[in-house]
Amino acid sequence: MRINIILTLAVLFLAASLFCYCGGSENIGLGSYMPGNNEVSGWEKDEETRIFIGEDLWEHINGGAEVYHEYGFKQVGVQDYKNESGKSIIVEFFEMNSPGGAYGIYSFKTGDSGEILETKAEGLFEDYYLNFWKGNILVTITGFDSDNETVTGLKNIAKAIDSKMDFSGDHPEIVSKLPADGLNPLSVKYYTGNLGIYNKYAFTSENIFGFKEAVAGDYDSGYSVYVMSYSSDTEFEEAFSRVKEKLSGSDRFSDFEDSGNYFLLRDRDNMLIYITGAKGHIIIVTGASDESASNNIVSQIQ
Amino acid sequence: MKDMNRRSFIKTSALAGAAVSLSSVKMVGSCFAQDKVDVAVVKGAEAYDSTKKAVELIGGMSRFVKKDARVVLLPNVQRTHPGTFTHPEVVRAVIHMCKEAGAKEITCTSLLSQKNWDDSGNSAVFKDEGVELKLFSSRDETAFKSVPVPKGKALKEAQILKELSNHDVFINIPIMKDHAGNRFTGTLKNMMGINASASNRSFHKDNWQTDKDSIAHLDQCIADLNTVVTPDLNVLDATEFITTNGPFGPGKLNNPNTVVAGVDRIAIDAYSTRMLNDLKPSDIIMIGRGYDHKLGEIDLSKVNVKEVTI
Repeated sequence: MRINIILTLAVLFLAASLFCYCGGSENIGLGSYMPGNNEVSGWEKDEETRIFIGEDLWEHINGGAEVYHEYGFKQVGVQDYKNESGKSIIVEFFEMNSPGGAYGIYSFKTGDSGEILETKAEGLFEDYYLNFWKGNILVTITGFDSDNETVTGLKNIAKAIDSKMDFSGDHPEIVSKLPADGLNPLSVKYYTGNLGIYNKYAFTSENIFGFKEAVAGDYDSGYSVYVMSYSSDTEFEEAFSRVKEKLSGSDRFSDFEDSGNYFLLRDRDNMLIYITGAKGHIIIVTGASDESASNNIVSQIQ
Repeated sequence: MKDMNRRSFIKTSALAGAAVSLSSVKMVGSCFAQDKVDVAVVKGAEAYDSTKKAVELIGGMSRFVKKDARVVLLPNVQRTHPGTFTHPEVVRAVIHMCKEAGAKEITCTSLLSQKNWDDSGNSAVFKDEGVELKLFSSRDETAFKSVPVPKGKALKEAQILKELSNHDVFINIPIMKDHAGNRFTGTLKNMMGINASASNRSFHKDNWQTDKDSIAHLDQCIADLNTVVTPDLNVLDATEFITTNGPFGPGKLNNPNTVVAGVDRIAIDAYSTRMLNDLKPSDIIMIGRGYDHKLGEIDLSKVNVKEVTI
């Protein structure tokens, strides 16, 4: 009898282990990071945590799923909260495949102004929502208005989640390539694919850049800098030739000038676009006053 | 759909003008001043009033809804974050106008969840107004009809909600907003709301990964889909919408307090791009592809746009 019980327990334990494993991404327990009913004063959970894994992200965010996948989406836990006066807050706890992916989607989703969060994780509050990231995790918390009551709730829930997050991860190295002088740090975007960068500036809908990773930032003087890296010199050289050929032949651009190491274009708004390649990177400066200023900006890149 | 005759248009316009005092009116193309309005753009503090005025300017709801007509509505409540769903008062105004025009039956069809309709405040409007909300599961294959897309360049067959064919009038009521996939969503993109998920999925690439060659595939599929589905009327909500992180949000909000109405989807979307990060129609691939399909006019100098502030 005792052996049977032990065997049954062993089988149940094994089954439970397999279930957790088959759940794959569920093993970090997304729900456990969501504050319980007594953790944040005035706010209680409304319904159970909903979890969307891999391709099921579409069921949660529909047409917006692609950019998350581009950054390496793994799973998301979604939890609604409400308070006594009927206000609602939604927490989304995104697990990405890497810290780079989490930072990337964080940088994609945050704007170029807002209030830096007082959390251990890097975060930004904007009007009625906030985002913060740490390790492989991005947390987005959204209210439905910007009343004090809602904003206080957003920040307190963020602090409660932040205190439970024991993850680590740094900015991707390429981020440090942007010249620091005049850079708006909140404007920095890290990209792992064409869709992300297309949302900043639509050079073309074709993936002509084919970079491994890229970073972009805006500067006080009104120009922007893009740095794109490649896995090999061959990939870089092919990409640079392709970019030159495609953009010089595009009806979106005019005034093409090839200066050997770099080339220049103007877009339909007469904005100057300077593109060069060096040491395995494509570097783009948009919106600088002239060719000389663009050259000067590029010379500051390590 | 017959165009409103000029006499009744002038009469309607006069009545509308009297009803909305202190309004300012601007004709974008002055050479069209005596002609019918193609696209009406109304800016005002109340979404309800702006919606009614916009439809009045293009000839009134009776131009589209005849007595005893069965009307189906397609608002967008994709999410309930601020600026991501059609304002309930825009929907209410459309319902009121349909009733006033003599509609026998008004239905809202959707592939979205009841929760979205509840949380967006639109369920409450339907309850108030006696409008039936018919929800269909995208997984229910029997709810859809295969429709060939003969002009399709990327989409060869659509899966359109059968329920649509049970009605005489189809009114498209999207919210305009940012979209990470194609930068803008408006009247054209909202047609994905009556196409089965399995078909919509083909608009996107396998495993929802970014298209390695071109991100224009989604835009082409949307333009193709619009060749087989034509709303009788489009009422675009631009009262408040997200300009970043679309279509889901949360994102930066813009509040133009504007409603745009018309029949020409291309013209409406082309006009509306200017309210989203100063985009131009040529920046949005689906608008160009829709124009290539001859779905409407992309050159706004050839369209009679009437802008009104109330």
